[in-house]
Amino acid sequence: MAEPVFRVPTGIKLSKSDRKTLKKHLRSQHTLFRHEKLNLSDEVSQHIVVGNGGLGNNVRREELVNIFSKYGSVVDVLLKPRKPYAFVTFSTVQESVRAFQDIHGRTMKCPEELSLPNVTFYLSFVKEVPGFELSTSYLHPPGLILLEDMVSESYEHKLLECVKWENSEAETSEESANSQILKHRRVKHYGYEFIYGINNVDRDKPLNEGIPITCEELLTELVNSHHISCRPDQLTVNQYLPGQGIPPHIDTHSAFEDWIISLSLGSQVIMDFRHPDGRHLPVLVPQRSVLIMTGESRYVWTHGITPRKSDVVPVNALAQQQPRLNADGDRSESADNLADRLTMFQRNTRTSFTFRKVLRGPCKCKYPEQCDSKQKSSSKDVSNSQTKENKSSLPDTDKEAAMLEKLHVHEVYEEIADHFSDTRHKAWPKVAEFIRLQTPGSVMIDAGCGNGKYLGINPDIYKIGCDRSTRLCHICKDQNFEVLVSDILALPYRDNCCDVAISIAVIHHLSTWDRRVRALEEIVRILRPGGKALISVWAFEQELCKQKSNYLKESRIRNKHSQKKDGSVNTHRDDSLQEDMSGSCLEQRANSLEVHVNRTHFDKQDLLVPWHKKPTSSDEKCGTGEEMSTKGNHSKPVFHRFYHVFKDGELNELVQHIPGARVTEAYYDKGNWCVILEKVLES
Amino acid sequence: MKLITHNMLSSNIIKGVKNGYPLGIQATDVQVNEVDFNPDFVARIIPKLQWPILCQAAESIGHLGDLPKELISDFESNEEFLKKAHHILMEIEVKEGNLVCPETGRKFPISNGILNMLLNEDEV
Repeated sequence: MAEPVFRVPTGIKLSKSDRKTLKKHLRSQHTLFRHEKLNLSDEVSQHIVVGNGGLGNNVRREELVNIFSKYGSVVDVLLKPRKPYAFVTFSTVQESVRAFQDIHGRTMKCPEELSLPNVTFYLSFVKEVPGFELSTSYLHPPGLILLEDMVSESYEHKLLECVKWENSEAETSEESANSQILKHRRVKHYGYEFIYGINNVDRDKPLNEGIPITCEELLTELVNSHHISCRPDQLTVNQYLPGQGIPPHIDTHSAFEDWIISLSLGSQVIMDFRHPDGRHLPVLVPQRSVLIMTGESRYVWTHGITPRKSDVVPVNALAQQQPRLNADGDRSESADNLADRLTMFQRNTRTSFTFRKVLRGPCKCKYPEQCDSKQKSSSKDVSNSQTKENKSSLPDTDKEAAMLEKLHVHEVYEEIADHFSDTRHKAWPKVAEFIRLQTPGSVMIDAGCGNGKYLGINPDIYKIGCDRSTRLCHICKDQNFEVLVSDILALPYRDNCCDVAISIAVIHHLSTWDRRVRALEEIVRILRPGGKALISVWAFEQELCKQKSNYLKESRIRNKHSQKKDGSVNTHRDDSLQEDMSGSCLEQRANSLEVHVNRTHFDKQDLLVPWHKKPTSSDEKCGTGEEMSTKGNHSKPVFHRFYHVFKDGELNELVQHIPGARVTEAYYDKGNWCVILEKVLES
Repeated sequence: MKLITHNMLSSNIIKGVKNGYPLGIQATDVQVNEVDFNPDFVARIIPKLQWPILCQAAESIGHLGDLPKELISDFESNEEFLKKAHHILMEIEVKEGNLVCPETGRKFPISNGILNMLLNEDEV
């Protein structure tokens, strides 16, 4: 075979068109150099870069494969999102040279070779194909279920037929019409209208038109296969023309149940899922498939459709559904090569059926940051800061939450019990007052009694303490208090058995909203109707009305002390972060949760607070803040306790989610938020 | 664990258990400690109790004595009755043994007078 047939024709007389070709060729080489930092080879090779033959100018992979396969065995075709070039690799140099001679500078025939008119390919050889980062993955967000081929073509046809779109001219006059043309798409509602202004449905105003009977077959199948727990009662049909889309959104938590079903008819599309932490997963939703959003994918990730006319997808995502275009024996590419390759498809009119079940009562999800049921009125800034800060650090599942608390609450208290108890002699005055005010003969349960400092107040009532820590229970027992070991999420008492309950500085150790609610539900369960409970938690706000909490004030006093005593400046400060990190005994979660610097303001709501354990009894005098840890010392071990510190209004809101409980009093007490709640009398 | 506490306890926290009440008592060590008698306190506490359950519990560990199993109508003013009730409620203590869930038979240990009602992961 002849030596290189092609050379850039410099110094040779050129025709007008040749000169034009050369100019364009040089420009495409420049583009490539800019994008890939790649110099083109003067020598021929197996690898050809195809200028104007990329996803960036709407050339599809299949078209390239068809064009180039005429000249030999195409080993690989590489396309990149938004780039106006592609790489084609032949198995031999001879083949690539043949392709070069015929295609370079040629305007491709439309529609035989390319679906687009007037595209001229400019080719160059490259020594190697640049490394390639996969930007489109086929991972799905957690909780997302994709069921392909859920409806047949004939059923698809019937479903599309059953939607009666109102005439668009009549739209404005007919207020009752449930269909409307939104900016980006056509929409029609069944069962209940989804009102875009409030992003919710009006539960008291069901529509005359229920879910079409044609859908029954599909819904029955989904229920029978246990993909959904009950039948939906709301349907929204969206119709998207190519180029139309829907902005990223999370379906309002409180509006619907914990699953959402989306049936795709007419055209496949890429749906973009985005996590608040920045993760982006494009999901190819095939024609006639059913997408079920549950869990995180329903509650945390936004989903949307970018308004455009075509989508870029991994080759094998498409290959699963379509016979490969170049599947002609030895010229086809191997499956391995296809794994991380991209191509593009044109969108057609897509009609989606979104089935949902209208929710009665508040949302019970585990994702308060995204949940409208959990962030009302007063705590707008709470939700904002939570969304930004605390997302990735919090446990995702209840099991993970339990593990976090085991490591960073239960085991820590077991370890530090004696030292902890030594620092906690004095009852908080307002708690003591509450206990003293109870009528004689009352039964009081202290859920999370610690060393029992509230079990000795008011001899005229009967008190039972309980704590998760066996060692703290022993400390109580040594003082002759009645106490037992139990978990606040499972209080071992019969319903309605006590007149009073207190839970002081306990539920801030629970790591999810859901668990904090469950703890309060337990307390309310054991209270008799009319019974009262005092709940206190550590406050995010340690300075209110320019008044610093004791927790913050302690640091000043302490630092003065250490200066006086040993003359050195604060070598024993207990707020040294380095010390905390190196001395920690339980590090497993520490890298994801922030370690708080003792005696400073909180900047996060979920954090690990160091406890510096002292081997002997301390001379610590006790104040009223929750945290009264002792003076530091480099040799003593440090333990990290998990805390969720509460913002203004948050505790009240939590109580509002407990059926049968109402807040009778709420106050801030020296760095702690407190509520007194009452179990409402049964009507 | 005092018998007044036992009167409040339930194992309905175990998955699948409906009432979990009353818990059976298997006592290997029962102690009697003197506690100051406060008749007013006892009189006010009694209506909050499941009286038959208290008697049943006291009987099961052999400490019912001659306390009537039926709550007498004038208990509030009957000092002798209140004294007996006080003894059973406040002075008897199970130091070692188990409480037993009436529905599943699950045992909850009592050691050094401290009952442990923690559940395993699979019981919640």
